[in-house]
Amino acid sequence: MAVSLFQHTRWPALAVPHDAATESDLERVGRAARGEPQAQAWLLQQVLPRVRRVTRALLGTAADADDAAQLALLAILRSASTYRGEASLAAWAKRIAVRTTLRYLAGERRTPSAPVASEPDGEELAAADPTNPSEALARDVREYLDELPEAQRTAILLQHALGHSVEEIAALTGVSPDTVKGRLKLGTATLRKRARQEIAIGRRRQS
Amino acid sequence: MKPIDPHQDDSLTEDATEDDRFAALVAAEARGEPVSPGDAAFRRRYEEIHPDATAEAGLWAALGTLGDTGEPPAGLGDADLLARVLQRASTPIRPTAARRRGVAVTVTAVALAATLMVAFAAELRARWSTLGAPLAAATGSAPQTPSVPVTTGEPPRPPVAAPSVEPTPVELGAAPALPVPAPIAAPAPITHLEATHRDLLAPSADELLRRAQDHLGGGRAREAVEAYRELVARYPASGEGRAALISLGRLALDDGHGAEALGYLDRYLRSPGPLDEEARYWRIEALRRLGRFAAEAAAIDEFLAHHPASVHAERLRTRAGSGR
Repeated sequence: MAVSLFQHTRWPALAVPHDAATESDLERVGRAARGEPQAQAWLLQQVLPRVRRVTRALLGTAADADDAAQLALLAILRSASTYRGEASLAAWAKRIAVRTTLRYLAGERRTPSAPVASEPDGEELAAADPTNPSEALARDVREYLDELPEAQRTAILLQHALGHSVEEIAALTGVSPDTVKGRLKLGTATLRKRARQEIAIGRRRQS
Repeated sequence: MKPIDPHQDDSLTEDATEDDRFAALVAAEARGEPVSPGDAAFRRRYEEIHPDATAEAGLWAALGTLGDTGEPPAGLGDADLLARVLQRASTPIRPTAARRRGVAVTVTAVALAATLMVAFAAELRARWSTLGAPLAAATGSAPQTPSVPVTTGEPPRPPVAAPSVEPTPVELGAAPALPVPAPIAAPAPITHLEATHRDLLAPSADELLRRAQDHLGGGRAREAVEAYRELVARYPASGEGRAALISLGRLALDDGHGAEALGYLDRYLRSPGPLDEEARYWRIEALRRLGRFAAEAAAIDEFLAHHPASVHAERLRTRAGSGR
């Protein structure tokens, strides 16, 4: 379909999003909880993009993300009877998806993170994808994350990729907010240090 | 490091340093969240003070877009994933060994009870038959089944369906009194489930695009962005979904979210399409907005190489010639 993209004008500032469930959502989730196939399909369809985002952000491979997404969607169906509409459907589903994915991660007993990589060589820098939004970086963001201890990596992902607050991360991971702050601070500092090092190396080699 | 903005309203971490606040802001912007004027001012000041911050921002922006559902699916497609989940949800719980033993005992007990009841019924019937003749004589009515066949000159016919005193053997599965649970429907075929959720629930790509354009026409930018995002999430490979990436990039750019805009436009350009020219043009604008002037110059060269006759070409040549 041809779309004119040059017809946009300036738009007003974005309004505060509505964050409460509608009554029809409640009714439909209730029907899903009672096992109505159409309501269940509707519920899954509604939450799928959010679940996908959570599992893909927290897990490194597509296969793991798909497995965790299936578990999360089943957990959402099983929990449908507990939905009271106090939060938006998306926020409610996201919490379940995050918890399920973290449990999946814990169950996977992943191998420890790889040791900190050596300085990237010139080929790696030259091979940086020119169309990547992080094109100034030498490596994929996953590689930077893999250098962090898992607890720090999870906290960073929950905050930066999924937008959770410190308090929410504390509740989701079962630690105190101070612990979360510490993990975020350490993890962010490590990532920043590595990124700055590699950016500086790349500039020196370009000059 | 000295505080840059004394009016920090950062809600992420109360004691975050400016570095952490910058990282969180860039990631939030890449996630498509609105940025307050105070945060935007903080970011400008931070980038002025830290020239490397613009390059470093790529890391935080990449973090913000991790897991974005607009990415080309590398694993299961949405339809397959939903079909699997719905199938698993409709599959009955497989009985455990203990539960199976319990069911077998119940079935046997019920079958035995049914057998005894049949035998008891046969015994009653036999007694009724022997008492029936005198009772009939007394009342003048004939019993339904005479104990002695009436002689009519014809050869005696064998009694039809005469009740037997022998209990009828009852098969376990055929016990009439067996409380058989309601049959559980077999899981529907995947194709049916796919058709169900597709046909009944999901708006089409065209509907979502129309919805987004209606919102834009009505000045409802937030709703338009939501519709475009839903379009990209549901139909990332469709023409409408790909076009929505550029619309989202434009809208993000209009709202000052350069990193987010760049993410959408880069995603479009990962595979060639009919809107490459627009995507490349707005990518140049996004890079300029982000202050990534070297990347902007490279993007202009790329644009001119691909679209030398574009209406934007002359202006971009002038910009490239002036060093910006």
